[in-house]
Amino acid sequence: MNQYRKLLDLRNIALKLRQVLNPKGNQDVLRDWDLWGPLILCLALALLLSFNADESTDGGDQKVLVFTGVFVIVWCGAVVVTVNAKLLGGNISFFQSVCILGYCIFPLVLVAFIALIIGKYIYIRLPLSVIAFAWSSWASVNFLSTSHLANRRALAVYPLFLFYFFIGWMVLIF
Amino acid sequence: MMAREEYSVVVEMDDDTPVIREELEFQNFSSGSGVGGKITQDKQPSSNNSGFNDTSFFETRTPQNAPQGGHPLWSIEYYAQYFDVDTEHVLTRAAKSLLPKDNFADVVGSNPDLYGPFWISTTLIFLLFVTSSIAGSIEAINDDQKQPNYDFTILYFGVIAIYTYTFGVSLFVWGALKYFGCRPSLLDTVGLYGYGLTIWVPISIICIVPLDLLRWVLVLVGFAISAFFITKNLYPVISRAEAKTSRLFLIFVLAAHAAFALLLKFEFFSYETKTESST
Repeated sequence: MNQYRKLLDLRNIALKLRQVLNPKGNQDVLRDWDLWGPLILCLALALLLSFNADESTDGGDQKVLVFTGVFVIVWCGAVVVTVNAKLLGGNISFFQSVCILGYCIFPLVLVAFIALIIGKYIYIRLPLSVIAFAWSSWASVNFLSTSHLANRRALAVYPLFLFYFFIGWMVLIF
Repeated sequence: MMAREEYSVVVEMDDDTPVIREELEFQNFSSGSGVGGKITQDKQPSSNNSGFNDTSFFETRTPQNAPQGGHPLWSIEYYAQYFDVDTEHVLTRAAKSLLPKDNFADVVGSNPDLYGPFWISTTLIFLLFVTSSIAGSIEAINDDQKQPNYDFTILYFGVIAIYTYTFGVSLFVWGALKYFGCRPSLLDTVGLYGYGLTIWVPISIICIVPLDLLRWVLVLVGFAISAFFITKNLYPVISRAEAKTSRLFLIFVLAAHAAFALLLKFEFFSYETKTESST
């Protein structure tokens, strides 16, 4: 069966994206991890944010800085949050966790896209960013079962919030 | 007459007879059973340990040198022992650094962690970027500029500065102390520097307010509290060197911390002047 699975299974990715938007639904589709989806999302986010980055501060350098920064933050952040949970004794699969954390930036990517269209109106962007941050955090906390971490759940979940908070912040200001 | 089995106590640790008790170790470290990890720490034979039950704060602990119960240096399980803390532990340690009355050694016990230093420093980096951005945009609004400039290089600078100070300087201090025979503990030193950053978190938030005098006062307060915290707890170790070296150490630690505080002030907490000067 698996021998006919395409390398880049777009339909599977789309299913996972829909799952992120509806975290209460069937969670099985996310058990089958892949890193293409997070890569596409990360690229999209980096492009969207760097598109808006100011040119005036350092003569165009900001765009490259922002693109690189977003990329590094998303991937390193996902890895660090995962490793942190594992170090605390959590019982999660490394790649599955990175995959889920990557997919869950999808609401933030959506807001970044909307922000690109509507421009720098803080009164619209702020509530949108907050909602997207809450959505992403809640979705990923739901998927990642940290049941082995009785007294340390907060320690494992806090970096997760920090991760999405910072991405949300960048979506807000760029 | 009662037939009674006599159990003779097998575990009897002596400094003269170091024994590797592999067969008594708990195998599963990664499930967070910290008790297992702690027992094996004491069982490793070593010439550094001055006494089996010695949990004095700055004695070098062998787990840093030898693999823990068969877990190699590059596996996650090895490092899990430094993350064997609960939420309340981390919060307590952070709180104690804000009001440095107690001896931090007593708070930590024999369980120093790397969670606190790493995540407090990371939080601070993000916060410095966020608060500088907010301060910058407030200033832009005050100047009637509609488009505040967000300088992403602040983030990169923050990463280098904070991580270098927390882990680099503490490593250097540890190394220097070790060279002078003060027998410091790496994890405790890193822990001091890491938890000492806690005060800067609320300070960076309040420093959004664009009043330079307030910012200077806050930076001074932050410097005072964190320098006192670090120096007070480092003093027992420093004083093991000879008098003149000890004084030099103290001066160095304080000077490095002052430099750090000034760096924070000029790079992150002075957004009024930053946009005037081009970087």
